[in-house]
Amino acid sequence: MLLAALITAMAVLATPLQQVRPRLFYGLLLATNLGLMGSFLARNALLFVLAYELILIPTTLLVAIWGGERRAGAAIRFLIYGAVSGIALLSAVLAFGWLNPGGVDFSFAALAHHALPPDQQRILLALVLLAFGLKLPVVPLHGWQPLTYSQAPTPVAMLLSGAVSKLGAYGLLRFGIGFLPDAWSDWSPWIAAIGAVSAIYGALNAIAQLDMRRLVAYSSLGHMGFLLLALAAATPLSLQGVMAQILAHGLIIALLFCLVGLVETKTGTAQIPELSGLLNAQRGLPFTMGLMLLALMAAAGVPGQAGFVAELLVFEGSWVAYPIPTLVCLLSSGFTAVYAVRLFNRVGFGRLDNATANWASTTWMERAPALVLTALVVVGGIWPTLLTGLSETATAPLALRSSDAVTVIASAAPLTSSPLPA
Amino acid sequence: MTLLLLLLIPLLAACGLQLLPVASPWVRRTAQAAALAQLATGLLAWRQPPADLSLSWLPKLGLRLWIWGSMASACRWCCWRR
Repeated sequence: MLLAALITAMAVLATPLQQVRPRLFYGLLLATNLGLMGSFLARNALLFVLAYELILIPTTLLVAIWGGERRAGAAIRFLIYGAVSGIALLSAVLAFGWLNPGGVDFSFAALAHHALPPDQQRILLALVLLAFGLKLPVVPLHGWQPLTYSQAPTPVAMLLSGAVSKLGAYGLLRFGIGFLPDAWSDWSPWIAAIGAVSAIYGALNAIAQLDMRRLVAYSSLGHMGFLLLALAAATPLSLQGVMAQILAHGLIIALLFCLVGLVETKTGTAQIPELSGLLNAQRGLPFTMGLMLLALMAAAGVPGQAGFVAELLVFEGSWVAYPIPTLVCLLSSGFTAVYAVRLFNRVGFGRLDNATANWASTTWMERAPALVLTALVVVGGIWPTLLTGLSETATAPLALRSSDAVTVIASAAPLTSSPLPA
Repeated sequence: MTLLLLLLIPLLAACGLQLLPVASPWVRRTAQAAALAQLATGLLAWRQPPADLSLSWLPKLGLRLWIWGSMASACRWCCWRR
């Protein structure tokens, strides 16, 4: 909830002063925020669906009206994938309510209290996985993501990647592990495998990209694979890692899109082969590139930054349950360093083109959102309890129900109320 | 109540923005103020239990509006047929 509020504030601050049709633009940004807040604060499944669907319309319009050259295709693809996700979620939620042994009740407390038979759980889990797998996204449901992230205006890309996609992880935690624990345990090896495939696919694709925005988009896809792996493992530590990764990745990816947007605004391109020497202290963008170095280090999981804490928890927590997918994700984490170094080496170093290198330097107003996000990423790294302290009590009860590794405490009382924080 | 504010702030700001003149600098300022106010409210509600936000009436209201809307449409369609 706080992450959504923070990313929205940074997205509004990162919007250019000369925004075309500003009333509609800001109105739609705030409407997206309203949907996000409604989803995170809802304690009723129908209200959750209502808010979840509310996000789709403003974000589609934001991409369709203010996006890049291929915005129409990106918006249509985003709309179709989003609509399928919404239909799957609505079907699942209606079935949840109607199949509830305690009578038709859509409140989270009632859904968590009454366990469904395993057969029904499997059908519902398929729908839940489809709905939130599209939102995260994970392979093979990621078709909308690279195009949408690369065509969306910078504030919208920040909001989509930093907050909206995290709704997928939250939904899987809430609906998948929380309400369908038996089916989740049955299918978790496959879910972990999908997570590992997403991680390695995203990292390898990121290495091959020539466009900075697409590189960041594929990087995000890889990190969503880590999230899915930790969710599949569902140990107390991995679920803490999920919450930490949601926060850390939300900050890091929003920061990366903010910085890529700044570079694109100043230089007029986000194509890696067309950029070089941006670290030049006189005529480059040294401040922006310095922050980008920090952001890339955080994405690669370098110690001292929020990304490290989250990835450590994810890998350590998942290793107990699924060692091979965890190894694959560790490998893809290594590839993250490869594309981070490759991007920074090509864009930051080298010789500036004298004919074109006459860009205006960034103003403090433009730097402000990136500075705030960088500060939070660093603070999250040196003060890890900021990321983990809040989630510890909230995620532990979920792990008790779903993790094979903790069957010793299977005698714990079933959940009677929703344990997740707002 | 604090948590309800988290929803009311963006809703009111998004509606209020449409009443301002297009070229006014207040459009950006209002959006920034709303986003920052929501963040501040979120920080105030940091330790507040999520159950405090009771909006169970909203889906019911939505369903009722939908039913009433469908009935109104059906009535209009019948009148039009006559």
